Amino acid sequence: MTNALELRKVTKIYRLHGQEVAALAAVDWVLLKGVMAAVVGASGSGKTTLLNIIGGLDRPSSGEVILSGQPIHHLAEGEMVLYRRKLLGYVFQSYNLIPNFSALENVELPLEFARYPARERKERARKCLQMAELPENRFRHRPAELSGGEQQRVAIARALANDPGIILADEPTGNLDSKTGRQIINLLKRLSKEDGKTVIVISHDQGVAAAADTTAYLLDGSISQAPPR
Amino acid sequence: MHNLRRGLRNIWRSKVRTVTVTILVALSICLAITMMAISVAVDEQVATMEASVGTAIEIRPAGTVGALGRGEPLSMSILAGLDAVPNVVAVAPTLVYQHMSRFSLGMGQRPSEAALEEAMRERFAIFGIIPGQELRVFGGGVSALKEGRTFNEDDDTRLVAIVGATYAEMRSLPVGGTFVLNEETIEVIGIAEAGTRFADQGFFLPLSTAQRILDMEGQLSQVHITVNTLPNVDQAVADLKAMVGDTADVVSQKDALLTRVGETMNMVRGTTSTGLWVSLGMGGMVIFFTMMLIIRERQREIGILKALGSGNGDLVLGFAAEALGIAILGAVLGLILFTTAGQELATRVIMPNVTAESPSGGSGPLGRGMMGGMGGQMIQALQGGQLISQLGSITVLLSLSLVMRTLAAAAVLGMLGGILPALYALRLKPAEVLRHD
Repeated sequence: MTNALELRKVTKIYRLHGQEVAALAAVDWVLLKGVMAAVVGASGSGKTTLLNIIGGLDRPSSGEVILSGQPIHHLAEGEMVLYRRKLLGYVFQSYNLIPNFSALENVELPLEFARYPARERKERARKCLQMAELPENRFRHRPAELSGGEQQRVAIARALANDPGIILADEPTGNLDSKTGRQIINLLKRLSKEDGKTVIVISHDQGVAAAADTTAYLLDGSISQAPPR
Repeated sequence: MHNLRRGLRNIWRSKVRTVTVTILVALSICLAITMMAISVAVDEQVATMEASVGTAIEIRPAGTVGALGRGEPLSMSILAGLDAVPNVVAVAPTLVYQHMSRFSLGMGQRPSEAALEEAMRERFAIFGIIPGQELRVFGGGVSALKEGRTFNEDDDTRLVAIVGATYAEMRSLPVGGTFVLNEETIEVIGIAEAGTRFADQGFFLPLSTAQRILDMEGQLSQVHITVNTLPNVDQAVADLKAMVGDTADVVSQKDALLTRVGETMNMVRGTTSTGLWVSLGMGGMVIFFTMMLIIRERQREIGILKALGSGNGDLVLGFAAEALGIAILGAVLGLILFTTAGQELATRVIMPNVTAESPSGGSGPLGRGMMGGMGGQMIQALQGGQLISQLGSITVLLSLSLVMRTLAAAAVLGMLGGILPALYALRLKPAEVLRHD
């Protein structure tokens, strides 16, 4: 198996009130393709910072981020947009769907940015919603007309739209009840196993860690494969 | 295309705000359209003035100061060859007779209302004109026929008159009625109006009839010459002077009149120009601040769109389309407002300028100018006043060109009002705006 992600001595330092705070401290992490990984840690441990750096939404202060063999930490903003567009899919805790767009139109958005033709865009969006197991009769509904679980399925379908190699999910079950949360985790796991997606899930939930192929624990900006004592 | 669609759909995300902003933009645009419409109407008025007044030349008895001054009357023989002068398109000989009132005051006396009214009744002017020519009054002003008919060729020696509106009103003269002048009974065939009481206090007779009744056979008071275009006026004046020699004065009215009118024009233009930029600026500011507010509200969404792969161009076009949509909605509503309130608004904008510039000498029938004696300058001031008054009553119209210019202005406002805030949106860092997810 080849590496989907490789982090080498990744450090992120924020300047807060004149003092430097290390959100990530020389993180080394390697993740194989097709693996579902959980990143677990307490609040302020650096989970979201790690996800933002992998997702190209933020840059490391030092170190290297290599995605599918390609270093991305030095890319210019324009190249980073292409990287995010083609290689990554995002799933957020609070779904973050566009409120005045239907489920189908929300899934079409990344495809519009990637300049897919209209017909192909609609076909692809439908297929993604089917993969995310949203009932067909909900495709035309707006986010406010969908349950939390349905909205998260739409968000997952949107993350799948551009057929990215890596899906980044930031607390995807955080706003869901335990049953719906399990369904969403099972869906992400199936995408990893059946479709070969590399899924990185950030969570407080130990149940998510149990479902993942591998778990990384973050504590004060440092990563380890074993739970902190 | 999808950015345009997304931007236009976003307009209705907050209906109350969109309606409010659209109304504000519409008010600004209505004001801007009014300013543009005034400007167009004023330019058209100027063109009309230049065509009708600015190209007018007057031939008067030598050494006099206009139709009411002293001096030997002109002879009919002066007309010979005038119509052959290059660029002359019309020659209108006129006999003007001014019947003054016997009203007089001692030093320090104030006239009573009844005395003034009586003086007004007694004073009138007679204009002898060739049938078929314009109903020209003092200084080149023209009366318009209100009722009845104008003279035809058969009327040349007949006892018929077209009376001024004031003259007809004061003597209760209808079309078909008669009045007596020098023991001859004259039939009223028409009633005309020049727009001022002074000019309308008189009547027109066929030239031959006027010469006979007034015992001024073969005599003329003045000859009105019309030149084809304004640039040819100076040359025509020179040619006419060469032709009439010392027997008459040849006077172009354009300089004095246009200088007088030009001051008002400049004031109106200044007001409309300032008003246009202020109103467009207001509309632009409303759109700009609304878009800034929208972008602040949607910071998270901007972060999400960036995370989903939106490029800078997608973001800018989306917000520009939204702002453009609001601006176009405002423009359409502004055009509707203009059709209902534009004329009233235009009158309110123009009238202060026009009132400030109206000549005091021509403000009433027995005003300072008349009591002081009517020289050529006063008549020109009076005529200038008439023209300026015409500015106060201009009609603003919604033309296709105005609609296109309004939509273009709205498009520019929308693009600027949308793109500038969108550039701010580009600076937002998705990691920061999504941090609190």
